[in-house]
Amino acid sequence: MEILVFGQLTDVLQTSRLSWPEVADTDTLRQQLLEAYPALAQHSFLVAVNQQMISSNTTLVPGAEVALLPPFSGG
Amino acid sequence: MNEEQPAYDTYRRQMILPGFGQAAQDKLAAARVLVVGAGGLGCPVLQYLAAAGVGHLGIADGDVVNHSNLHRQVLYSTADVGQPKAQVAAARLQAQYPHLTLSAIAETWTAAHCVAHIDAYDVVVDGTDHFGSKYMLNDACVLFGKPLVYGAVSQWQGQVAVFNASLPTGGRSAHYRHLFAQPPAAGTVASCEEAGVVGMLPGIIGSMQALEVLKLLTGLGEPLYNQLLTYDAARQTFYKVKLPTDVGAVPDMPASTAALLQWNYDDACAPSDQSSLSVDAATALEWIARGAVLIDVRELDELPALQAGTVQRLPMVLALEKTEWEGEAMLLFVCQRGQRSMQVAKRVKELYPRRKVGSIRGGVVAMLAQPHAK
Repeated sequence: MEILVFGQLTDVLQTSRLSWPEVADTDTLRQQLLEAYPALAQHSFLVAVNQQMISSNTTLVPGAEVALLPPFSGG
Repeated sequence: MNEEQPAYDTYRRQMILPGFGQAAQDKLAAARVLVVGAGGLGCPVLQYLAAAGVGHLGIADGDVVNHSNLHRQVLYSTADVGQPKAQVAAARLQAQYPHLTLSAIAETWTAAHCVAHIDAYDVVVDGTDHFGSKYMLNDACVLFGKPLVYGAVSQWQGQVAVFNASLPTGGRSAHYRHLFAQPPAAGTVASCEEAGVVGMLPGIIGSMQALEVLKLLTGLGEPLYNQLLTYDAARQTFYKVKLPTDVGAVPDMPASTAALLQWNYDDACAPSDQSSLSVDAATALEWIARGAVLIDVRELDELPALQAGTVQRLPMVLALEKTEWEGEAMLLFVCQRGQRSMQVAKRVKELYPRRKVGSIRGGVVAMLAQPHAK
């Protein structure tokens, strides 16, 4: 699966796009990402699966595109 | 205000668009749009809405023009440095568009301003540069039932969305708290002052906000309802995310104008573990009277200047590198809004756990609102 990373989260994950082994659902993915990138815990961001924002655990079909979008404050 | 009306000739290129015509142009002329924040986003929003023939523009901004604004805030020139942005912007737009009606509010935007002004406008545009203001504006637009054209930028990326608009299918579009229910913890998201921003980016995002306003006012096109559009200027890519359409109530937001006025948006970004370093503006003046050293960690050319007692200036980047702070006096840090100063205060507290260290909540903006600070 592909993970797209936006805003200052790219500093945490050190990339704006990464491939990740397939996982069952978004809660599992979140857990794996937090283990791999502990600093992610300090950031707020919304999660989208195939360009649809999710608000609860969501099943990930093979090849899903997950986006992590933080809020921006600038104007 | 000027009685002279522009000829339709001025707007011919947009009026000949299929479906536009005199009807849409008249809707723009009758419209009232409030732009909160006349900075990187606000400048292009104001310029394009004025040029398109919107009849009445409200311009709210409590800041003065800084040299560091000029690379992206293209309404202002070097000669305007130190002048209030709202008044400079209004004067420049009035000179260019004599028929335009303008209301300049050259004050720091507060919940009281939301209550006093928002209801008199058809659409509100978010040109603010601070999470507290973004949440306040969102909550106020929800309370007053006004559409909010949201925009935000950071480094090379920007976001646009149309919040809380009446949908043709009934109900209202999602709003900011449906995306991010609560503000992020202080220090976890850098502002443009801290992280930088490429100058053209707010020009592009602000132009897109102006376009969304035009669509809302005329009924043409498809506004960004229930969608968050992210633009990446570094790669020239757009990424749209659909927001849940079954948006319910968000519990933790003010439910009345009375609650809005009481809501603490200054602390919205400050989690409790940092509150021991956070000092409000009134307490800060007491600290200074008792001999605290006041250190302004903004860039050297940032305005307005502080004259409360003796102020040392040491930009954040240098302050974070400094490992020795001489003497035993209390150290009180200040920046524009209180975010950079909190970073420095935390660093200094790590170096000197027993020393009295503080960061002024709300920054220079809050200090200058104090009666004795000037």
